[in-house]
Amino acid sequence: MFPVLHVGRVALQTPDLLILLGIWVGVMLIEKFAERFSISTKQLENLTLWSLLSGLVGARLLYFLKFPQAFLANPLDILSLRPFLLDFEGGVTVALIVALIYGQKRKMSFWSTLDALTPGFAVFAVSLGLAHLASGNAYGIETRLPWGIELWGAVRHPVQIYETLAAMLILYLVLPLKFRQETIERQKRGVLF
Amino acid sequence: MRNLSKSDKYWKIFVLIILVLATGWIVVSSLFFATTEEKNTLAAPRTGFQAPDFQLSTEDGQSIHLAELQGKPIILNFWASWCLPCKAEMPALEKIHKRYADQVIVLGVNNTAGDHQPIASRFLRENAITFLIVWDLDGSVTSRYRVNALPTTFFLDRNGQIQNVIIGGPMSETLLITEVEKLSQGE
Repeated sequence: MFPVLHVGRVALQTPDLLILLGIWVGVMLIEKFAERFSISTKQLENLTLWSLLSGLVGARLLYFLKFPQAFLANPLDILSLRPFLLDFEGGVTVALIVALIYGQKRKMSFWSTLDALTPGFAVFAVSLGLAHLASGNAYGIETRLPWGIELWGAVRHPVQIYETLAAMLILYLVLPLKFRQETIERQKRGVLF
Repeated sequence: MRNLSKSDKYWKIFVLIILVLATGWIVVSSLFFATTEEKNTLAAPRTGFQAPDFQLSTEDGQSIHLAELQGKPIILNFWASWCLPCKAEMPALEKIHKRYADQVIVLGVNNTAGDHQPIASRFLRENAITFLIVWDLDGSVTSRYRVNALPTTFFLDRNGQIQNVIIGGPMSETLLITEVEKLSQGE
């Protein structure tokens, strides 16, 4: 567990940093290989950008709708840059809806787009596993197996490590570098996803 | 009709086997293994567990035992006087203490082992902080709660179970109100 990274007197939250890193590397990978799936890099870039931005705005709006009375004393907090006042599930839902609308408007092929996004999802899954390992979240049940880890008052399955390894395996399987262009073209759309 | 090469076929079979195994694992583990919910049994400084118990003193020598405060939700805030975000969120915590005095207990734990008590006391006086503050003289409570960064705030329900942990700050009054509402609703 390594929840906080100290840089001088500044404490950075390692899980959040890992997730940001995952999003960044994932987006880079998606952009790099988009053309292989006959998807315009520009369109995919816009799709991810709009989804992330709308997800952020949606997360704040839904938080506000859930707790409107809390904002009565300080209404300007609705514009606050602090990351706490966000509704995670709401943000994800809004981001998905916006991605669907954008894809429809630009006439992007649904399954090819998902295929093109898959390496990014896999990188994100790796970073999520590492973030869980850093924070101690998503912990496992108790075990007596020799590779159990001491966490939250018990020896537990290192589920975060299983999760990270599984995501790494998926990343290895879906990395488009592994596939010849003709294999991608021959494969049914959506199979990679 | 498309012809699949041998390696494509093997790859598809491999993926299919992985998917079947993964689905099987999910079903078997959900049916036969215990859940990870261990509420009300283990004490650990994270959401879903009982808050580790402690006993510390206030400046005037009054002993505060966490277990004895159960019955009301508790906002447990770890702070130090050298920590700027800690000081910045103190007025918001004070407002919550005054506004929800009958619903919630605000308890500040000063990490005195890493602070200078007279400076911390002066800060409290100058800013008219009236909620309960206890002094963690040897830092043992801060360490038991695995506080790696200040401020860190634990939100405990009326049974002493941790419902949320916020690392960092400053927390706004709005955020604190929503957390109090969640605790009151039993979320």
